[in-house]
Amino acid sequence: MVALQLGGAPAATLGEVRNRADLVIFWGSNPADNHPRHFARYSGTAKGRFTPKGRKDRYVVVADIRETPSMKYADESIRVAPGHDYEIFTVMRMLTKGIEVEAEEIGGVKVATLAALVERCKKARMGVLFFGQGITETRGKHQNSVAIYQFGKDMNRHSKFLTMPMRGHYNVVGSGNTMCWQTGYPFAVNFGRGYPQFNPGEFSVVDLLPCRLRGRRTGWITWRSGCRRCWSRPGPRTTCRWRRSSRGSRNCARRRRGKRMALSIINGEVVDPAHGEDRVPRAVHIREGKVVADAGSGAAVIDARGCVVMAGGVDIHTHVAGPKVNFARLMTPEDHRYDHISREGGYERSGTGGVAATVFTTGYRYAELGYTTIVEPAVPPLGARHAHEELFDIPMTDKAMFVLLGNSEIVHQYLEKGEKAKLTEYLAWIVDAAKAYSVKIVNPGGANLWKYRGNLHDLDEKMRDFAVTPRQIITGISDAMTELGMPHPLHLHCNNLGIPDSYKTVLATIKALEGRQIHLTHLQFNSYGAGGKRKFNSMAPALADAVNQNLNVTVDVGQVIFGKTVTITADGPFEYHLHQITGSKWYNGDVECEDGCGVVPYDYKRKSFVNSVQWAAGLELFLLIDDPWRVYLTTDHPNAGPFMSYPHIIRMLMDKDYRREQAEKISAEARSEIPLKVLEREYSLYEIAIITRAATAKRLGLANKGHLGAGADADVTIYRKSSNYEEMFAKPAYVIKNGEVVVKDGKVVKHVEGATYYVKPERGRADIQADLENFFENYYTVNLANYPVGLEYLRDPVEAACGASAA
Amino acid sequence: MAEAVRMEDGTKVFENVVCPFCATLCDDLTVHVKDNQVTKVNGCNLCKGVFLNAHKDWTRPMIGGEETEYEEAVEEAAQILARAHNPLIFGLSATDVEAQKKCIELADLIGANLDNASSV
Ligand code: SF4
Repeated sequence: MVALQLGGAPAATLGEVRNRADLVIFWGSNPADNHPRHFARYSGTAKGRFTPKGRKDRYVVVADIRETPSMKYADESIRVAPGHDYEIFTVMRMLTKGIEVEAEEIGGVKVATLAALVERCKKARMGVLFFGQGITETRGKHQNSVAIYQFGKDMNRHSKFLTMPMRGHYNVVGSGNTMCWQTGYPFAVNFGRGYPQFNPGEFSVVDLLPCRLRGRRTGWITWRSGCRRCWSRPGPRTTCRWRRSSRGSRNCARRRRGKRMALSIINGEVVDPAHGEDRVPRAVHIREGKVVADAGSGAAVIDARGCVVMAGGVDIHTHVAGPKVNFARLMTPEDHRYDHISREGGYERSGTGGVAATVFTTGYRYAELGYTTIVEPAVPPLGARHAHEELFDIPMTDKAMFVLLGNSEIVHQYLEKGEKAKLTEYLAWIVDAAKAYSVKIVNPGGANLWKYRGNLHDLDEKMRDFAVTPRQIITGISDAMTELGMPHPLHLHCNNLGIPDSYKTVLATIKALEGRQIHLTHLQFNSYGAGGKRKFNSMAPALADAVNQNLNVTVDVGQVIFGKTVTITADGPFEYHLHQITGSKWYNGDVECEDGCGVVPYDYKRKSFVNSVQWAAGLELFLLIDDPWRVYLTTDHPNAGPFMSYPHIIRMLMDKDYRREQAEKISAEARSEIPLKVLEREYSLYEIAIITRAATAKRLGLANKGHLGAGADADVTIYRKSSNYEEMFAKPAYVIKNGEVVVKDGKVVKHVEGATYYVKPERGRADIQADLENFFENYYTVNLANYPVGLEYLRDPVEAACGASAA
Repeated sequence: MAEAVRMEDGTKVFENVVCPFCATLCDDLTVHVKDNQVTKVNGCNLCKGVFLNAHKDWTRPMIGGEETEYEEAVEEAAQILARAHNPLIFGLSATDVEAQKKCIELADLIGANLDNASSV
């Protein structure tokens, strides 16, 4: 765990091992005894798509300090001396890099044996090293795992190579995940100060319990009286905190939908672009969680004099939940350390922040910015259950999630065979199985090649395993979605993201779409050319032109914010590229049959030419796309920066002097290339209301969001007017969720839970049951029956209209 | 989970059960239960050893092994926690996410330490 926090790792789900691995190494792990069915289900005799002969298609190596039962099943056994893993893997890294090793033997193993193993790894189609717990129990502890992960990363220069721990008894991975999304840390957490703190040498069971209890895994709740540490607030204080809190928590059952009281917001200026209202002095009335024409007598009154009144913000694209977001949390413990919210600070649940904040922090902070609906845009179907578990916990906002299908092998298979009806039926099935709201494609086809360390670069390039091109994937899925009548059209992260000339791919994609409805996400990351002295420039103006001309296209920007962040994307090859450039931590997580994923922390620097061009490109998109109904405010949180910077961006858009001031600070070379018009235009409040709520809600097809007409959900944000727009938008005077005041003066005053939106497309276009059974039986590691996510995983599920019912 | 339950001559049969005993997480178990006792399971030896020996019925409230009412058990647990100066909640790995969430909430509420088997 600590090793993962320190550096990340190249990994994948076990189905990838089943389908592709032709070299499997067990290092200090003994599956025959400890994970009895691992070999049969995933790593040994298991047959998969490219391992049809099972055991015969794999070379298996077992390395251990003693003779183990697993060695019976191996092609090669290596005996190592105890406590030398660090040296051995350091030598393996040297051998991988072609550095000569003088010693003949290291840790009881001949260097020649290690060299042969390294050569085998380099030649593997996909190699995987499973290491056991024993590794961390010797000298060096987690540094041994770090060495193994580093070896894996080095090996990825030569072959697809994964390094994965085989965790001990019970599902410790699962509990670590839950702890991580709620506290920011996977184990050894202490809440003594009212917020989560992490210190493995202090708060772990090993450090807290007398030695004789160590190793007992059945303990559930253990306690120890008598304080030995000053932070634990001994004596009556602890007791008192508990009593007070316990009274508060009895309200839990009642807090879900709140008290639906009547409320009138008077004297404010209403900005409601959906109804063409621009600072109209009128009252907004609320009853039973809805905006109504008349609140009736006895309604509470909010005097909004000197304020603008808008619908609650709607974020169309923000990575806030799911397996890869949780990996980002795991990998940034240093970020959580100094940024936290506590119960004593008035929040019902404590949490940690940083760019990859925990679930509670995320919900509170969105609400404190006046946002009341957020969309997690990138969940592989296999991760849907996990994503919903996290969404369930995010308070204060309504939520929805998009499912990733652009690299789904079932989709590819149907496209290859030209089976359109089956493709549409599969889409209907999978959207329902994942309880998703819409579909996203990331780097279509790219993940397939990435499973062999490659990527693809052209819309008409075929994948390796299927004779299908990105063009076919995009148009095929788009047509299926139209047929199903999905409320939000295809959400697309284009090919070639992040590299020079990526703008050409966008232009080609728009052309390939031939007028189909499309949302191009975080377009900034795809708006680069290869011009100029440095062979890298912003081509955002060309893209803005294309968007202006093609009315079927909407975009969100993904504005770069200078400072530290963490990038999270299903675009596995891009993340590897970023890891190569920056040398930063890197996690890779290929998802069997479905997609890829990568996580790399990143620091956007003002003085960097490239980062400055990226920063400017974002602003150019905002300011050169004429129709605000088709360009939305995002930072692709946290990829280009945290959502907490929205007020700063709003000020840059509304205040050209401020924008100029900011531009003064970036690389001079990049600044000189910014077109003049970008420096002149200013957004109005009305336009800001469009790009942050009215247009996003409309594009999402959320009819009750983003406006203040009668019948709208009573999600309202009241901003105190100021000429400093950053301050104005950072600290709303009031936020009303579902008819209740939940934020006052930019601070949460009430914890509420939001609803989860999903769609249930109509089924019955074709029979795909046999295909599904076949696919799950042969290529997945999960049972088909266990795959669909039930509604019980969703907090207050709301089925949105889809298909005929939407018309 | 999509566990299907059917009856076979007085025996309840659960299908597609996920095995929680090692990180392999096999999800294809069929578990036979008769009179609240697991009589048959199709997992590996490790899994059988644990499932078939799950004798104790932990579904009833107890204080120190003596059966009691829920209210009293909860009161006693609350007292113990309230008296503790530096409580530790440990485990979490053999239970489901819902229970894990509740444990974390409890730790948050009482300012406890929280840990799982990662550290042993
Ligand atoms: S059946 Fe055996 S191998 Fe599978 S999860 Fe259970 S203990 Fe592990």
